[in-house]
This record gives sequence, C-alpha cells and structure tokens, in this order.
Amino acid sequence: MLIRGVVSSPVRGVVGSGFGGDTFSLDAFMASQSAGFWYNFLRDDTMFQKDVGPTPADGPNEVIGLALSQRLWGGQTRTGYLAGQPELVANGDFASGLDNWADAGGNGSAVVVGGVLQITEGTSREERRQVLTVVAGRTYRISATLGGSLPVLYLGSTTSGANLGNIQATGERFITATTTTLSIRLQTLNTLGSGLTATFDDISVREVSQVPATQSTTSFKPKFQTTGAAFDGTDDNLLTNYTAGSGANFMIAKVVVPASLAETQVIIGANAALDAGRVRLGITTAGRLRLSVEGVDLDGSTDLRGQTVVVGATTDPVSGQVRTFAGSSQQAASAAAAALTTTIPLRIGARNNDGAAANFFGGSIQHVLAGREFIDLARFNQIANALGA
Amino acid sequence: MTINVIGIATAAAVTNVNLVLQAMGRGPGNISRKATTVADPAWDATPTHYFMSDQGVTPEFQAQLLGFANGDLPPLPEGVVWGEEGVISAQDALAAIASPNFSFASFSGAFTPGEQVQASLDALGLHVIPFPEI
Repeated sequence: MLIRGVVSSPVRGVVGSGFGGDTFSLDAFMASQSAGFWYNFLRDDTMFQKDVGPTPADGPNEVIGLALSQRLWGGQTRTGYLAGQPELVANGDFASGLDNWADAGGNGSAVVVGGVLQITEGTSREERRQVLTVVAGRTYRISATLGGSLPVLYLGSTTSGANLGNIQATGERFITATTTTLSIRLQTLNTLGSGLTATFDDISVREVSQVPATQSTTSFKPKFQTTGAAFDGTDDNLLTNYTAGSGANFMIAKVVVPASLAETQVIIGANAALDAGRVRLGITTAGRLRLSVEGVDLDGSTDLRGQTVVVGATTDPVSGQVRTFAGSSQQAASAAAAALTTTIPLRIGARNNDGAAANFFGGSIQHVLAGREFIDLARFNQIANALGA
Repeated sequence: MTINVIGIATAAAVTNVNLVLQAMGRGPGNISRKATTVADPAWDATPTHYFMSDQGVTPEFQAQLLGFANGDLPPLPEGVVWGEEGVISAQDALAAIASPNFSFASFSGAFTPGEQVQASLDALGLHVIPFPEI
C-alpha cells in the first residue's frame, strides 16, 4: 500500500527511548503521551469519506468524514497496526462451532458448517449474539464476511441495541463506542418463515484509534488533497472527542496559511459557554499566530500568510506559563495560569464554541497533534523537523 | 476541474431546505452560515439568509440542485421515502427548494472558496454575518 507522507524519523517506533538529541522519534514521543492525537492528513489510510467508513478518502477532492489518529500506530500502516491489536471477538471464525455466540431467540436454526455460521429464518427472528467489552470514546474496526440471503450484523451499545449501525455485506465499518458495551447481533433480513439462509464468517472487532475526528454533514467535510486536508473557511470542520487535560497541554499543526484572512481563523480550538476555558490556536487577519486562553490572547510577531509552516502552543497551569511557536522560533510567551476546558472537545478547522463550530480555517492542514506536556522550543523544533518543516 | 457550490436559503426556508439535503443523505444542518441584507452587520445581527460552501461536489449533485429550480425533487437513497419515518414530505420539500427559497451558484476551481462566497452573496445583495471577534 502506498503511504504518502508517512513521517519518518531516525528511530521511528522505539517506544520508551529518549526523545532528545539525534534519537528523537515523533512516533515514540506521541505514544508516550498520557492522551492525545495525531492526524496525518497526507496519508491515504487514515481517512474515510463517511464517518463510519469504509470508503477511503484518498483521492483529490474526496470528502473526509472520518480521520483516525495515528498517535499509537508506531509508524505502521493501518493494516499493520490492526494486525497487532487484540481480537475482541471470541470464535469469530466459528472454528469452535457456536461457542461464545449466545442463542438470542428465534425458532429457525443456527449451525456451523465448514467453519461458517448458517442462520436459517424461522417463523420468529433467529439470532446469535456476542457482547464485547470496549472503551467508550475509542474507535473500532468491525469486519465480517457475509453471504447467502440477506445477512445483517447489527452493532449496538447495549446488549440488544442496533444504534451503532449494521453491516449487510462483506466489508468493514468503523464505530466509536459510546458505552463500555458493544453487542454484535447476527440475523437475517428475510421474511419470517421464509426458510432462507444467511452465512457469517471471520467476524472481527479491533481497536483502531483512541481519538476519532468526524464530520457527518457533507458540506462541512474538508477535502483530501495531496497537499493536506483542504478546509474551505466557511463551514468545514472535524470534531474530535478529545478534551484538553487539566494539567499541561500542547497543540501543534503543520498548515498552509491562507494568503488573506477576513477574520481570525482557528486551526484547532474549543471553549465552553461565555468563552470559559477557551483554548484556540488560530491566525489573525494580520497573519499572526494567536493563542487564546483565559487571561491572555497571545499574538506572534511573524506574518504567516501564504506560508506552509508548523505552528504550536503549549500551556501549563502549574508553572502559569503559555508559549507559542512558529517555524523554528518561539513566537510569544506569557504568564497565564490558563485552565483549559476539559468538557468541550477540540474541533479541527474551527473552534468548538460550546458545541457549535465557528471561526473557520480557510487553508490546508497536513498534520495536527495534541498531547499533555509543556514543551520548550527545542522540543517543538524536534517535532517540527519530524513533520518536515 | 472541480465543481464548487455555494447554496443560499432564506431564513424562513432554511430548516426545510436542510431537511431536503438531509433526506438526500448529506447529514444534518448543511446550510448553517448566517447572512443578511443589511450592510456591515454586527455578529449578533438577525440573519435573513443562511449559506453553505461545498467544494468539490459531483456533477450529479450539481444537476440535482439545478433540478430544484425546475421543481424536480432529488432522488433519495435506497430505503428513504418522502414523508416517512421523519423524512420531510414531498410537498414541503418542493416548497422549500422553490425559488427564491433556495438559490445556488457553482464555480470552477479557479476561484477560492472565499471568492465564491463573496460573489454569490453579492449577487443577492447579502452580507456575511461575522463571528464575534476572538
């Protein structure tokens, strides 16, 4: 698989090694964060056109409805990372017959023939079911091989739910768990009493990303470009489920800044009602990098309009310091015991104004990262260099 | 060559226009940005219109929007039926997409999204309601 723009670093994937000097690994650094994300909008295996997949967004102007964070992928492809993740479905290949697949009703039949489950419809709905334990907020890849007459695999956040969608043909789907339960229910859509049979095999659920960025409204979806995700500056944005931590934080993005801006545009940000807990990294009409947090609006000194540049900000309520960076220099620093909102998740390409998107970014975003560490210029430069600054 | 669309709905019609777009499988609330006929509006001005920007649409979607002007309802995804299970009725949909409730302009990729918005709103004598200064 062709992977465009996978970030290379000298010792990629050496988790737990030192991060300084010549051995800095951005993969290892990001993996060491207690929480965070890393969206790489230059790759062709992290983005999908719908918020549940599975059609990739990897061609020019294809809309992006789902972006997966590669923070924990250790430099691997999505396929490679998934291969190393624990399989959550027990006996998904039916090698052990019907073990682990509970009889959830119906008077048809459910038998395993040659390692394939066959469900034949009776006069009441035949169902086999397995309930998995998952982590709320994390994204899982579900895949299955389905055949026969009208198979359906329902996904739900409760033992009997179907609120997370369904699969009706061989393929995959991405869902973000809303509770600690994920139910998989195997049925057919055949008319009751039809006696028709559907087949099921290779059912798999694996965690693929801890922090998804999604958009379900078509006109709000940014577009894939080989130069990064293009945001239109009018209504495009992606919503993460990541909130800043109560301690130290950083946000970094490699962006193509618009040549002109009619108002301040936010690359990444969030605030609660009445601007409480605001954290916004954006570009002013004069092209200056602006970090807005409680107590200070910190503007940089460099005009970034029209530039492809790595920008960043970091905050630490303990030391009461905030800093911004652009290119290879520190743009500004100030004392501010900024407590960032820990309830409103960050949006990308806009600020999350207590749930609504506003102040849209009208440029391209190639990478955007967040984590929970107060960084200095040396660390920022290591990250920027790894992003190809 | 990309096809880019700026869609504009009156404030009175925007809810139902959005329901039509949602029925087409485009998700909720597609048209969301505020505009007004009053020049130099403040951030809290009352919108008379709403608009959307959709960059890189398919020729099929562009043709469906053209069909709106002809009173043609767009095709719906499989399993979606006008007036059933929360989907807007065909009658209300037709009223929503009729001129002047909904207008759109399409542009080639030679124009930036900002230029497209400006040209479209200018044509209707509209002005973007800005966000509060941050």
